[in-house]
Amino acid sequence: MAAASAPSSSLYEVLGISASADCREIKAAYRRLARTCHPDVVAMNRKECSATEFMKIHAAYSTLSDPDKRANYDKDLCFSFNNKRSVSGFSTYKTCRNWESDQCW
Amino acid sequence: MDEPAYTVVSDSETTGEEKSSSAFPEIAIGIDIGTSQCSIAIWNGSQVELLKNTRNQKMMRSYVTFKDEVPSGGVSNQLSHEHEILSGAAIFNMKRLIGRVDTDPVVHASTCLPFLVQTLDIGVRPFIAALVNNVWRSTTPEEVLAIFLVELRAMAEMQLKRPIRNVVLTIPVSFSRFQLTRIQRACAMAGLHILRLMPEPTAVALLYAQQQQLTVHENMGSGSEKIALIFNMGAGYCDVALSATAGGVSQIKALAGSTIGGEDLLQNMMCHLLPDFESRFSNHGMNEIKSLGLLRVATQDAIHKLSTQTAVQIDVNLGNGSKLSKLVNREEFEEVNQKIFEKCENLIIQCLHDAKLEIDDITDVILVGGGSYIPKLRNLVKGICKKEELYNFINPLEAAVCGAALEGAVASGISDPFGNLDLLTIQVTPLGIGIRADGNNFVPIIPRNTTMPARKDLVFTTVRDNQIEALVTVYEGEGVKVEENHLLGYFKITGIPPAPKGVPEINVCMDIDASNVLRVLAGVILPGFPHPAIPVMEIRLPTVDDGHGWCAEALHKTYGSTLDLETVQKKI
Repeated sequence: MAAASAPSSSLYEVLGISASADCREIKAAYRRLARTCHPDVVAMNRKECSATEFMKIHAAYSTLSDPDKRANYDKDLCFSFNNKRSVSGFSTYKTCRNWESDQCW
Repeated sequence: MDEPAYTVVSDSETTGEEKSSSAFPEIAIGIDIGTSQCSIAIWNGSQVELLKNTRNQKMMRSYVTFKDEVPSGGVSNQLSHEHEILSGAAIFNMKRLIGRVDTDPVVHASTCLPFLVQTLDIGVRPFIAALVNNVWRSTTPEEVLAIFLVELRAMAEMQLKRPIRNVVLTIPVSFSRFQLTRIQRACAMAGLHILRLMPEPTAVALLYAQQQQLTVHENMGSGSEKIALIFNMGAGYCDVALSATAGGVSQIKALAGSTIGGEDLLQNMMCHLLPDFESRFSNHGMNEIKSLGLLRVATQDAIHKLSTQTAVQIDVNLGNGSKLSKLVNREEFEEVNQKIFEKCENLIIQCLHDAKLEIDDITDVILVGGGSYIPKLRNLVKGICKKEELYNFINPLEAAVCGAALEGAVASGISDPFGNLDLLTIQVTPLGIGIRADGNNFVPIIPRNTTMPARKDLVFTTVRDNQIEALVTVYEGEGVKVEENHLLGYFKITGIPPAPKGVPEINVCMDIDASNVLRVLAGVILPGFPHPAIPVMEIRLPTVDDGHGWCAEALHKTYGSTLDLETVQKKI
């Protein structure tokens, strides 16, 4: 699910770490980003976009910090790289996401 | 909570004036309203300080007496005797009663309190009244809480010599969003603005995070992560939290809570001492209230003593020549309350499971709340966590309010030159939120223990051909069937284009923003069409007000299953 919602950059890029990062580095990166992006620490007028940003960071963290999810994700990442992202049944989901994100922000 | 759900006070009085114009940002105070005791604390510039009332107490009893013209609460009131609270004139345990309907077992268990709690069992708010000059004067838990908060506010304003408006309040994990609106209502009545509502164990977790940062000057993130299990039992509620702490960031991994507490231990014990006590006091006469009060005080006293002694002698004169005289030992107390202790155990196990953590992962075990003095509970928690010792750098009765005061300073944008406020709590949802679908089932869209802010969606579809309307009923809780959960609100989607059943895609999206405001968005899509078929609906919840017990029933009676929804099996 997280993979579908962030097609633009890899989860490693979201956390600013290398694809070989270990669990400790992933956690450290997550905490470092939380300290700057969490809505509780940003200025009043940035709360909404920081919420979206933090959710993206958290989604990346929760996938990469779970060994099974990470293995699956790495497999998909490799696959989509080789196939230049073949879009299949997800197209309808994508349109759903558009109205949702348009509406929210 | 930046935008409170109610707009009573802010609309009429202080719109737009909240952003303080003074050079110093106002530091929000932390308040811990316990079922039995209450405390208030503030960041004084270098550390957290608990405020004391005029009688030099840091812990004030949570009650309001309606004896004279002006009601007075436990902050200012000087009790001539403990029994005064139990004369029927005082309302207490408001935290147990607030936001509950008269079909709730917790309300039923409150009907043998000295003041009047009357239930009609139809799903409306219970009738609550205090005995004033032999008249039952009605009130509400919100009103009582507001009176109490006004006293707290006055006390803090006097000491800090400035107006108080912003507060961080601690709440039990198991509070529903409807109950939170009642707390917000009480605060609004008292002229207070809620900056944050913090589940109690997460406030403790924040204090722990600060202590860890003080002791270990680890550099950000790279230091060792510490897993803490926090177990909190007060008079009304029991909460468990697991947090991962490093570099001042306290990440809540999971929460679990239940409405069990000292009040249940007390009632079970009273039942044990006087098996027919409930029927004895059911008619609420003056004499009954008096002897009930005597029994309550004696039992409470005995429970406290059993924390340090193995046996205690109880002697109560119940009036009408009836006397109770009994020696009770600790084993009896533990036996009588076995079910409560089992529930505590289950909460811890559930929390560990939800956090996907093993017992060996736990660094520190923190026990707080009045229940932390009970030997059985201490041993139980130590046993499950396989720890010889509990974390003892925290005052069990002051931890929650200190955490709330820290959060108050952090959320007010105060910084500390020594880095003592470089703190962050990453919260999770204590309860799942979802809608009714697939018959009478509760389908969670945001599961419990989801990191906040959060946004998740799920696709549903119609259950019959050419179904042009659908009812979206939003619930919060953990039950499989909707009736086991709290109703938060409902709305109808109209104008679904006629199509065979199962074809329209109804996307229900739930969004919890940084201020913990819940919004539900619903849109309809027909496969093959790029745009939504009808305008998207956006609803801020909860919308239900009083009488939410029979709303669901009324909806069912009116619509049956004609406007039902079904989950769409995920196609991969």
